[in-house]
Amino acid sequence: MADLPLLTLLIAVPAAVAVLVAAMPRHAVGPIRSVSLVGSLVTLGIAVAIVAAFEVGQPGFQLEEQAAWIPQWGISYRLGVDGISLLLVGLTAFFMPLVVLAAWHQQERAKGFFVSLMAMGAAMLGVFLALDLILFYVLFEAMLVPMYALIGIWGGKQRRYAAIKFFLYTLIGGLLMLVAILYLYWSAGAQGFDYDLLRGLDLTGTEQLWLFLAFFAAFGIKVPIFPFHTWLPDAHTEAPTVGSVILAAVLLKIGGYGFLRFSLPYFPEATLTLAPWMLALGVIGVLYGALVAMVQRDIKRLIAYSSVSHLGFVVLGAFALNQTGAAGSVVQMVNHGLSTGALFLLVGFLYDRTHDRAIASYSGIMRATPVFGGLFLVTAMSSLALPGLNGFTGEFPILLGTFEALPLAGVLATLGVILAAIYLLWAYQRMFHGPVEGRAVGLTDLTPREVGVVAPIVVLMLVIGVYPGPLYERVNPTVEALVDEVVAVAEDADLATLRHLTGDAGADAELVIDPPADDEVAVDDEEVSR
Amino acid sequence: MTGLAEGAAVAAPAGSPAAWAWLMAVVPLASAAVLLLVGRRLGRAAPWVAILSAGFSLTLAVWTAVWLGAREAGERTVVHTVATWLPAGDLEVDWAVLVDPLAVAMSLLVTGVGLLIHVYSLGYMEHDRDIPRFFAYLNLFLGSMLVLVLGESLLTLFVGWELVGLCSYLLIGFWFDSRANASAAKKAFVINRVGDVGFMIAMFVLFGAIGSLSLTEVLPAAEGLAGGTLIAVGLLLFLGATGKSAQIPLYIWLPDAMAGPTPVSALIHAATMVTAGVYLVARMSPLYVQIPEIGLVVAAVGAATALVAALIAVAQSDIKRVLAYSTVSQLGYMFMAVGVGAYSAGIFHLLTHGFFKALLFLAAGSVMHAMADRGDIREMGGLLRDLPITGGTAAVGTLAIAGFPLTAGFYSKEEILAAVADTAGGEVILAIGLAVALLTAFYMARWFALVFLGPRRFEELEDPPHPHESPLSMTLPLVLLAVASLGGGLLNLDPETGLLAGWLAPSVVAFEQTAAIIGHGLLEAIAIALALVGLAAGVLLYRGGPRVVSEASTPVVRFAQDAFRVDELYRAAIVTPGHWLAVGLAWFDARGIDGLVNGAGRGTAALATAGARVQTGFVRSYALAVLIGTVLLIAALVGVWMAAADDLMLLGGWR
Repeated sequence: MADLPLLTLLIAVPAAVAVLVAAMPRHAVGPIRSVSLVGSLVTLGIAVAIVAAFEVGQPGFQLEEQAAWIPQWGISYRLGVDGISLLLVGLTAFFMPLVVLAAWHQQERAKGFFVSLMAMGAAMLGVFLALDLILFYVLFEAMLVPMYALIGIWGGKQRRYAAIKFFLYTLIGGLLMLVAILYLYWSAGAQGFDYDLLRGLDLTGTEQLWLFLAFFAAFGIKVPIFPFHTWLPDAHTEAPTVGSVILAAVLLKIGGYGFLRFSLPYFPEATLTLAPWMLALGVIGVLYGALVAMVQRDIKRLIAYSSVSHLGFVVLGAFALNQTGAAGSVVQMVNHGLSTGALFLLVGFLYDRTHDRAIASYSGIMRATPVFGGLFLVTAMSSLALPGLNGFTGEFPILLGTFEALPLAGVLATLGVILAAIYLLWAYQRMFHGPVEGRAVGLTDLTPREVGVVAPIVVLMLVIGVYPGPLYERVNPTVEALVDEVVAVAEDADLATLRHLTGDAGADAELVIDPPADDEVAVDDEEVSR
Repeated sequence: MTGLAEGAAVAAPAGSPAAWAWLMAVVPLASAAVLLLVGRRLGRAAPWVAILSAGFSLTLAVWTAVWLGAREAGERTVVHTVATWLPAGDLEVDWAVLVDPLAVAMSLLVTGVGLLIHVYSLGYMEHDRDIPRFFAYLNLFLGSMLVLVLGESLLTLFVGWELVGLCSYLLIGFWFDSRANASAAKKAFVINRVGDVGFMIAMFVLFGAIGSLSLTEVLPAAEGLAGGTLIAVGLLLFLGATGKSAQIPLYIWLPDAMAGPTPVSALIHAATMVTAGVYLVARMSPLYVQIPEIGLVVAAVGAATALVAALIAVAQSDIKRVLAYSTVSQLGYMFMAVGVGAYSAGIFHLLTHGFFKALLFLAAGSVMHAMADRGDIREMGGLLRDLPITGGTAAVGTLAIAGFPLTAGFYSKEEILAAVADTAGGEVILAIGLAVALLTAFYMARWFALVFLGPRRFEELEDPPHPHESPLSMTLPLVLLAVASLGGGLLNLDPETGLLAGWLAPSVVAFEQTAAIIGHGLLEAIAIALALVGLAAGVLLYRGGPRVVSEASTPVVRFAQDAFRVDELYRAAIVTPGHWLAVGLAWFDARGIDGLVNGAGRGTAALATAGARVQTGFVRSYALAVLIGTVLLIAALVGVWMAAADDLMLLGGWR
């Protein structure tokens, strides 16, 4: 088994299923979904094999596969997995069968629907595994098409607007990243697009800044970072349930992943220069998303804005530039995927029954449907980072790391835990407590299939909450190497920002609250780096 | 210094109860999970599963206490690691228990009172439709509280801290069909989270300074910390404590928490959970002892809370709300104690209060049971005849909380006042402490007189209840708690040589006298006189029923009845502005940011009208998208991304 090209298989299986389903007759809905389910289970099985084959404690890429693709331009097909991508691959594969099951009763244009799901899965898995920048870019953009279709064809009333907005935002971001990739290619002597080849290039401070910003356009929009986030509430709200789930659980993670995979190691000086600004954006995301979520009337929009808030934590962890924050950031991506994915699934089950997303339409759901109410409560508690459930195991290290990097940012972001309690419990109280009224009257509880979709996620929430060690064991070595690399470059450059961003934790017990570094630092940066 | 601060912690010997102490928490947690999943199928057996697991925890706690007591005094700080929990980057936190005299004392209280209240609930909740859920939550609470008490790291302590908050939320809102209950539950959780932010930031600061959150590493290192760090940590942890233990400024959730079933009020919102803040400060005594000025702040906040809550309690007419404000007030005493460095006195009062306040709440529950769930004490009266056991035990509780000589509350309150009297700068706090002693005796006597003495006013109600004494499952816990409330003083007859003081010595820093404001004999005499005056005045004034408030004092009384309108103040100062901020931001999001986005979209779409509008099927749109994408790649290379956006508008028309 060790010789099997597991990573290729992981991408090939869902891609093949997509092709197979596309070739099936349109009306064979039963076989279509069965094939999709089997395909997604096989994909999950391969992912499990990858996790089993992954060697813990080793920071670099593993299970690598390489083949020439377009040798004239140095474009290769190279895949590999490290601690960061392993978790995200696992998350993606874990959600695929659940998403198929959640869409089990999809009748309207079912064939296209399942083709889109499978294609989406293949592209997302590929994005996390690709170690050639052109391959990465192609898959990054390839995800757009099935997602655009999911929103645009099977979405709600405003689906066209939401789909196009999603498409444009992502495409524009991606294009700017492509420009930066091509610039890197020329800077490296036009030899190729291999991930390692383009890493550690001799770039000036100004070059780094511009390239960082170009990659930021792609990843910042994906996260999404304020003020580039407004596509998300529309996309989430209008997408069909499984579209929202895929968006929340996996697609948004590509932003955080991109920062850690590319921005930090490729542009360490720019990272250090801009880190205080990124932390500021992270804090804004956390607080702004939570505040706006508080006054939403549509439960899906509320969850969408909670995503903006929770992904602010991912940005904080990545740019705290210490191991605790970065490791927490990766785990937070998994945890957010689980909790928000489950929230969208549950809201989807409700919507299937009532076709109403307004919070005010419900009262007393807990009494009407206790199983649904109980699962929703556990999920909400996971989302508001209750210790003992998964959310806390990522959020706390992030806050700790952020505080170490920039105390003010850590303090402000910690206020987010109050706001999360407010908006989630407010919505819960309105919809689930009180006398059974409105659309809750006559509501039927979850079917075994629906419980079967959500239960595995809830179990994982508990397991990760109590025993997150296996995740961190795999992430820690990779982020340790990454952070060391960035900090080493910083030490060479002796940047002014360095002192409080990477200062030794134990050495200085005083609270140093410095304002974010201003433009002067950028200038210093240029002078230092030749 | 304490055993912990000296780094004297030893690993638990294999096979010793300390090595199994984690089961104290895990068994009730597992039982809660079972009850939540299959409780309905268990039917009448469900409560017994819960009671058995509580009994297991109590047995293990007693065994652990006996085992620990048999060890050398210097070896009573025992640590046992069960598993790694959170190894995130530089952070390393284990699932580990710290078994020391303080933890054992707390776990005895939690499991002992916990078991009694499990048994009591058997009778009290008999007719509820959600019995399995109730007992599941009780078990969940018991397990969570033991995580808090036994946690070896500040972070595992925090896990318990948050989980008991969750239980509080679930149990306050147990009867969630009523909006008021659900709202009270949410309020409790949110306000507690405000305090939690303080706790979390305190941990960040400590971790930054020490590089660990483990108590066995933090406390020994506390001595070497810089002054600023100590002050920050001391204040931030205390902020956390004010949330959980309902002190100014975060006390306002506790009175509303009475919406939960009465056994919950007794267990969580009187005897155990709300004392977690006191426990935290006592646990961190090696840190607090270095910052006596912050200690005085703690004591002052405690004193102010004690006074405010006692004043409000005098004006309340709900049988449970009087007790709720009384709890807030008594917690204030505990903070006075730990604030001035009298940690064992604070824990002593925590224990005795656990006995007599649990007793009073359970008695109140028994009364409400008899009164068909009515709670207005103005409508009661004369119930001593119908409810002799409830009334008699409530009388014991009333005497104990009032500080009647020789009761448990007398000794513990006396120790606190004596410690304050021996603290430099303690004059005002001492005066407040004495005033609150008078008020406590008064409002509790009023409470007792209105409920149990005088004319039977409920007989004039429409549909009058026919009170009867509660079943044995309810009266037995009352009697046991009454015994503890009477004899609890034996735990610590002398602040220095008492049993409890000696027991806690390895865990908390000893009190150090810094002044002598008043002689202890005189102080004791004053306190006894105040207690007797308060009790006599309360009984004499209210024996005949509620008093008509004179015209002149109506506004004052109304103000106290409305709890000084602090809720309204917070609403006007924080909640409403916060809401408008959120509304403003949501508007900005929809009109400001998205307005710009849509405007840009419309603008470019208008520019692109020259091009044909391609309105085709989706499949062709993809092909077009890919084609245009390719074109755009080239365009982007030239850096003309605006032009690229124009072309894209052809996709489907920007509506």
